[in-house]
Amino acid sequence: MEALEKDKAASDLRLYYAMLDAYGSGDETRSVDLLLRWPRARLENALAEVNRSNDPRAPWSPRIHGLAAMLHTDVALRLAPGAETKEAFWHIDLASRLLSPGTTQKAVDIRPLAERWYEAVARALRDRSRAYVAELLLRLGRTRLPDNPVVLRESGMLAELFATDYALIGSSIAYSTSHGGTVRLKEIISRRARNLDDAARWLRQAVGLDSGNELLAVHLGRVLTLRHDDDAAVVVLGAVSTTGKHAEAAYLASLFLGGLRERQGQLDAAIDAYRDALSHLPSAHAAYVGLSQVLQRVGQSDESRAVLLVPLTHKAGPTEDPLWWYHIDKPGVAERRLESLRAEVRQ
Amino acid sequence: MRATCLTALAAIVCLLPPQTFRSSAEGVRVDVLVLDGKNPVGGLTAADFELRDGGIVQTIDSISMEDVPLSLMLALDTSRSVEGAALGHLKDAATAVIRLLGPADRAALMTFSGAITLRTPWTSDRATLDAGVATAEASGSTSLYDAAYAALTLRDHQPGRQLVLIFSDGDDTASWLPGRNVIEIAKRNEPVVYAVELAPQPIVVSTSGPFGQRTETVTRPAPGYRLDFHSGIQDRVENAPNPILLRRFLNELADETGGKVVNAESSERLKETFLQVINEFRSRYLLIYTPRGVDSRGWHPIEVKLKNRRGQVTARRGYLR
Repeated sequence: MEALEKDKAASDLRLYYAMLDAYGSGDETRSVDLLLRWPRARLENALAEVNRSNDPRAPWSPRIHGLAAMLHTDVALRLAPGAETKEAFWHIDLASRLLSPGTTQKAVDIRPLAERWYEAVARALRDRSRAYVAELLLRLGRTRLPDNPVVLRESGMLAELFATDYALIGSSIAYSTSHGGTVRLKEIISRRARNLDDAARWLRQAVGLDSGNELLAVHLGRVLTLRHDDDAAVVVLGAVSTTGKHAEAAYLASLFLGGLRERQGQLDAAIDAYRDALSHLPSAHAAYVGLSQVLQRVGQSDESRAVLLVPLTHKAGPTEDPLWWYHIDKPGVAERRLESLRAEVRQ
Repeated sequence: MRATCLTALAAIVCLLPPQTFRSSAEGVRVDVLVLDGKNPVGGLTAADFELRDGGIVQTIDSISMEDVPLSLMLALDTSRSVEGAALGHLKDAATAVIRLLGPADRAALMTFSGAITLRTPWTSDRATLDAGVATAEASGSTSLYDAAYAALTLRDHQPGRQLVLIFSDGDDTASWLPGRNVIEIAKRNEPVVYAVELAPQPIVVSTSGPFGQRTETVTRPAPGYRLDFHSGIQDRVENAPNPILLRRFLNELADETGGKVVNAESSERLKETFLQVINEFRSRYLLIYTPRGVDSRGWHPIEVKLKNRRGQVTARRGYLR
């Protein structure tokens, strides 16, 4: 009986390799479809035979590691939009293990691929509104790829997202026709503070490891602003705004400085910051709105209207604001990132 | 680049009229709706109203109804969620409103998603407005707060009655400004805001608990605008009670300006709802008074009541000057 089961597992491993080969030749849909039909136990039994005497491809090459990781990633992404979070995460965990340093027999450093994989999959999950699965993924990354700037950056940015757009999601607020609404404000505030603490810690570490990344510094500066750590935020955002090497990063840094100054009641400084932002990116949108509003508050109504009309009538060219893509990728970018990884492992 | 930008701004400034809440020498203008049940009450005179500014009863200098031209700002949400049939219904509704404008009335058209676009500046030319409606396309996120700010700020300089009609089918997802700032701006500006929305449909939710399976009907709109963690400028969240924290932006905006929020329920009913709004607005009274016995600066709470008549009065809560 045991021998029969072992034969079955060995035979399934061969089928698994057939799926990997199909995936490697570009037949992604069919291989994912086939793998999705396998019960978890069958897959676990087949994978238990890997690198044993029955395994015709032992030891696994880095290419097989990469192909298998991406196949399981695609299975997870197929499952993720639905309710099968647990099942999706099982495949993500497996893919993450396959890409852990030291899992390949040959002296090939799988770390660069793993780093890109964590970024691509985390962004793809965010793109599919599965940010909480992305956090589980990055938790694995922080363990299996410690002190990695990409994993830390993605972790910090996701925690920042949780503290902003996602701050109110998750059982704190209930609306009901029969019971009216309730807000558990303390719960929201304390959870948000934890998110901001995590974001600040990870982004600081990431900036320490990747100091030339200005957009990363902007995220740190904004998180510091949200924590009301204003002095530190001004230093970080001010540096990016002044350097101005990367126009979008400099714009965002000045824009966030404008918001910070406005919140502090320093309206003249806010006006300067918004104007700085527009000097970096005259075709933006949000800084005009911010500037217009502050001008109106200080009684400069005519100029307030004039400033507002610039983006609304496209006087500075077609409007596009980096703020709109601050938390999310532009349409198609997350998918292109994944496609590039698929192409890489197929080589 | 910055110099170019500022030069362009200076040129535009010269073309624009000044903007203030009309509460100076010519008096304060208060737009008032009087309803008996759901029906507007007509035929009222100044003697039928009691108006208090800062608690002090004021003398109403003039009262008018339909004879004052209308200045209508249409601010329409064209985010991705109105793609398809809903956009067609929205355009039909806007066109129907334009048809309803009289020769002396003026309108402007603004659409918003992530970006806000002034498609047609203030004009009384219907063809120009129709052309603006035709160019609207649906895409992107929803900058509701920023759009409301823009609609209030870019009010008409002609001395008509100022109405902002905002349509939105969802909650804010992309504004720079927090809702609170926009409410403050609304207090400084004259337009009355009517908001037409498509409220989320209730969904049936089943939950398991210690007493077994329970099913209830739930609607899940976004939380109140004071709990906004998205916008660029964020004050600390106030420790306010639930009813205040759950208060929705458009309701607050309408209440502050003396307007209303109307749920069209489905996009097919937008045309009918828009026309109802315009007709109701035309049935409002415009009261003008010269403030006496009150401070010249700061917030002026306004209270308008009917004397010896039955009816529900809606007017802006006050004004800043």
